[in-house]
Amino acid sequence: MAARRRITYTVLALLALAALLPPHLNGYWVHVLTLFFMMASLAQAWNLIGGYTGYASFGNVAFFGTGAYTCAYMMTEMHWPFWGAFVTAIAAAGLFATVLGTPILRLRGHYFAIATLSLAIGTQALVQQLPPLGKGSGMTLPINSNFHFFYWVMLVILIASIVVTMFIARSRFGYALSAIRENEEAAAVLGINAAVAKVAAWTVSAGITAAAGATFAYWSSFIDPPTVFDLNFNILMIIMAMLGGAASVAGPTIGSFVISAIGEALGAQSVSPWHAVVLGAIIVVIVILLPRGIMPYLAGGPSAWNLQMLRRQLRASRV
Amino acid sequence: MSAVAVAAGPALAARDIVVRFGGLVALGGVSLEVAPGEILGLIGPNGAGKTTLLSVMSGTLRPNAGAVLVGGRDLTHIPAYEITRLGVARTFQVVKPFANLSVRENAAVGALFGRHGLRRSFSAAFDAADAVLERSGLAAFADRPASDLTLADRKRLEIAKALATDPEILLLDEVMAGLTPAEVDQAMNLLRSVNASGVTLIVVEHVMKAIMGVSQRVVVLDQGKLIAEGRPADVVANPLVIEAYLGKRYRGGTRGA
Amino acid sequence: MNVINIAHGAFIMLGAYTSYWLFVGPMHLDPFLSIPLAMAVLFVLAYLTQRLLVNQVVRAPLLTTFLLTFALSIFIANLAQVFWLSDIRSVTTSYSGSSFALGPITVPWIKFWTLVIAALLTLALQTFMTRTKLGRAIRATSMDIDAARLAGVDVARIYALTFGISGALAGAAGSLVSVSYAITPTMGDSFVVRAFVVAVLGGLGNVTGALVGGLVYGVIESFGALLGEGYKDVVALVVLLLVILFRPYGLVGKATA
Repeated sequence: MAARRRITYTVLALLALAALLPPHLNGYWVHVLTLFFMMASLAQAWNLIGGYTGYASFGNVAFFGTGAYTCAYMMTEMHWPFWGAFVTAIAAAGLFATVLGTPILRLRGHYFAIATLSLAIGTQALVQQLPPLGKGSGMTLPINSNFHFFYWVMLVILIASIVVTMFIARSRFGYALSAIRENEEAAAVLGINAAVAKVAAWTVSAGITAAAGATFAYWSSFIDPPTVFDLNFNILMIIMAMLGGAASVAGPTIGSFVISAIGEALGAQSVSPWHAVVLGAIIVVIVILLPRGIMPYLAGGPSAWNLQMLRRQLRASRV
Repeated sequence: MSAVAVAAGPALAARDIVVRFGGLVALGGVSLEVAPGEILGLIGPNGAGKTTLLSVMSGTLRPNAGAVLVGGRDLTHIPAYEITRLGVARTFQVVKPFANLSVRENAAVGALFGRHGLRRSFSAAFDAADAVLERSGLAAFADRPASDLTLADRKRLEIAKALATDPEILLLDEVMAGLTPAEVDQAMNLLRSVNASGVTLIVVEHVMKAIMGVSQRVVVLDQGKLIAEGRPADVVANPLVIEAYLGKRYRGGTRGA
Repeated sequence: MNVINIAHGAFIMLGAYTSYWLFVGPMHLDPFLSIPLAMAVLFVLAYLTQRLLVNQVVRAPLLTTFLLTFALSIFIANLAQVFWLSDIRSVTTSYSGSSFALGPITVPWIKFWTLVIAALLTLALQTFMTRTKLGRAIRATSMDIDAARLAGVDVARIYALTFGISGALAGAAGSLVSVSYAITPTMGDSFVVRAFVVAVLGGLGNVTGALVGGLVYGVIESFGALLGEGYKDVVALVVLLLVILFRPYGLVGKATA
């Protein structure tokens, strides 16, 4: 799939160039782009378990929150520097995913979705009860006003997540995940240890998500449960990954870009519910018309063929 | 059994396999043996328990009792993926292609994770996949998505995937169902060539032409029990077998296939 | 039917608002009496939503429906916020505070009648699903869309009808909660999660199971509150996880797979 490979490299090149931007941008745009890099990383991470392995997780935000709170705790209570807290956050989330993933990934379809949903909600509820974590009122972190620092950290996390996905996609592990997604029973009889593969994918996904969470915590200087365990984050991750093209390397980043751009165009700073109304409507349209996301069209052939493909997809999804 | 088989010991031995689904006894204590390099046909009316038996052998289903011995190990305690890595592969009656992967990638998955898979390099695995596609007559479709294939070709792909795992024993579940007579001939030739390269086959089939033409020995299941065993021609003439398929002659109506 | 409706909470919210506006409007309709009206309104809304939108993605992967209904819930909740603002409303009737004694326990009249109506609606739904032709059509479609279509069922209409019924029930639920809970545009969120938990506890697709699940869940939540108000949710979700892992067909359901 040479076209897809070209797309991935283009995206990486653009991101590398973005590293040079901060001195030329005002604070607003640095903020917006940092947020975009973060959401794109979350979408990329989700894609590993959701897109490639076919297990749509509604609990990834639990790892985001775990990363955020681990970082907050290590920096405030244990007085560790950011990088130490960062690594601990990734390890904590990875452990979380491995331990809980082993039973949860045995579930399929509705049950897996609901189980991960309750994982997200349950983790939030638990954190809200624990005094060392500030109970419901949140935690404050040391302030760091070098916003360029966070821009670059998030950018590096994003680039790393794309590169990780790229290596996985071309590896034996990646083929195992794709096989599991396509037909788990067939994958098993061809010699794939599905249980181990799935947990491994979720662990990697959790690690990247937690990295973003930890950085977010330090960046915001204040976190509380409703913010870092917000289910809307999870839904956004999924939509961005699906819009861009799940089971593709750079699709989630492209999808994030589109959604972020739409959000900006609608006036992201306004608090009006109209913004959400329009966003909801747009998502409805996207979900109906682009079940495979944009990627097939970006990587595909001439436009007439694409229209035909679109019609075929629509017919296949209709009742 | 041939003299060679007696000397070497069975490639696979199933002993007293019992499978119960709630109150229903799918297999009521089935034992059979397959000699190395043999083609064993497994026939019986619908619901006899043939697929169930294959599922027990491939690790897809755990029996309530009994053992399946291959190379001295009991497969009933081993997960399916490990059984494949030991050299026992299977196809499914309702084919399970990896629809969004290319035909080559489908076969490559088998080559990457099968018997020698984990020791193989990536390129070696893809080479092996290409070789398997060549043997199965699917080389022309190598770069097409598996979802593009016709049913007959999907059945061939199903066999190709299993072959790519480099099995010693291949369990085939009704691979001829739904094929035209010409396609059946092609499939039979493929099976013979696979067997000629040293693979032991257990073939579950309803298509009589295929069973008669390909099997060296046939075993008959009916309602979870083994009722006959022997050379194809003998088994087909066995009155117990005829009764299992057609029902008692003077009671009217038909039972089973 | 393989449609996970995240917007269910939003429908409940609309039902609550319907009862609210009927209560404070010129008719001063008692919330319990407004149940049929709320049901009618939501039936139409849900029917149209399914017919025009959700039907387009029913055969797509489950995730697609999930996202579609999620987007719908955002759309509806925020639209409600635009028109009705986030002010907290409530429905307080003349009998809101009164209760009767049942031995040592004090039972509030509202909770009692809510339970009675919920039980009646469940019974009605169960009867409908098992005894009427339409109910059978729905169950048939949920088992196998294509087979149902071949049997002459207008599948698109059935999906729309089923969703309509689900909407009607949400409307009824909304009316019932309007007297007990604060009415805001985002009130639906907490109900959706609980609805899923209860549905899974009772066994997906099992109507009476849902009632049992609801009762069990209510008890668990109350006991969870013993650990501390906030632990309510944690306990409930831990229970849910355990149920899914060990009895995925629900506490009441039988394994139908």
